[in-house]
Amino acid sequence: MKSNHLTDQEIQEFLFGQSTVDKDINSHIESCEECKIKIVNYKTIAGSIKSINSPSFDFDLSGMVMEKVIAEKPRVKLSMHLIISFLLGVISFAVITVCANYVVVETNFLEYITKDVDSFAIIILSVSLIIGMIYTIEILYRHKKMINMINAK
Amino acid sequence: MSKPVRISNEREIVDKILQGDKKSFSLIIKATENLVAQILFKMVRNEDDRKDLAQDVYLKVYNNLNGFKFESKLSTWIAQIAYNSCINYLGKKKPESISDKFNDYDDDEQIISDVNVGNESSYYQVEKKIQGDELKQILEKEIDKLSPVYKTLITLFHNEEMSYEEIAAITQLPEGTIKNYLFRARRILKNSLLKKYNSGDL
Ligand SMILES: [Zn+2]
Repeated sequence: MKSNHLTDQEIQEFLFGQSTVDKDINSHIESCEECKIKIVNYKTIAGSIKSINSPSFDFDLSGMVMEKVIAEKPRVKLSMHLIISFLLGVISFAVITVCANYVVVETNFLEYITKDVDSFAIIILSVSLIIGMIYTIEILYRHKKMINMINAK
Repeated sequence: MSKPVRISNEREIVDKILQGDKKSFSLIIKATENLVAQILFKMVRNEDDRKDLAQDVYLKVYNNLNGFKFESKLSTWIAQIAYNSCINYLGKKKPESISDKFNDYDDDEQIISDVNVGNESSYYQVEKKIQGDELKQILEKEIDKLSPVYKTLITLFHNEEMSYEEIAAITQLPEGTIKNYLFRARRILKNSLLKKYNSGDL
């Protein structure tokens, strides 16, 4: 049996340790009034803390957050980004090829575009370019927002 | 106090939200806002700041939901975000006294010294006489005097009845540190009560 009185540390460990307690400590507590009192004191405090009412927000947190969440744009999944990036890559390649051809042929641009490139390709190219520009702006904006969020953390 | 909503299947709800069902996110808020309130009330005194922080916490949760890997309970992860937000808030608020968050008891020894507080048995006698509610009120005041981190640890352990492991996940503090802080916080509480009783303040 432990002959010295328990330290504060040992008493707290005994009460709140979440692990098994030394036999010596157990038997000392059983036989020592002084240490029992110390235990009762800590027990009383712990019990009293437990009975303190939990605080809660006095505003409609869920409502306020949901308003912002609903207003947010849907998030594009990573796979979607990859597909769009791939398409943009293909389109850029096409644009570069067409322009390179033009430079090599060195004719009047209008003449070249009407004669050698069919109108279907022109429409595809211009639509793709517009999508590409919008997409790039969107990505930049999102990136900026993300950076702001990280900085705010 | 609103009753906390229980989420039976976290994975299901998180998946639903990620697939675009935004409304389900309110279930997550309702299930965890009491825990977030516990942390925010202990860490942040200013009511307006608490209101802003609470919203920030959940917007962060929403925006990072696809990063949640179910390695812990959803509530633990959200509590971690809440705790971190508070730590950052405190750091911004008073950068020069960042250590206050952990230890505003440099004069620990003065309060803690058991010699100063008199005989524990007399406290015990008094304690038996006074009403539980009175003790609760005094204790609430004494807890309020502790540093934000001590307060939060006491609350998570004694009110939320969390394990050291769970508290460690939330605060990112080593378990040994948590045990040590909790030990000191409880001793401060006990000794300041003891001091009060023995000096006849009560
Ligand atoms: Zn003893």
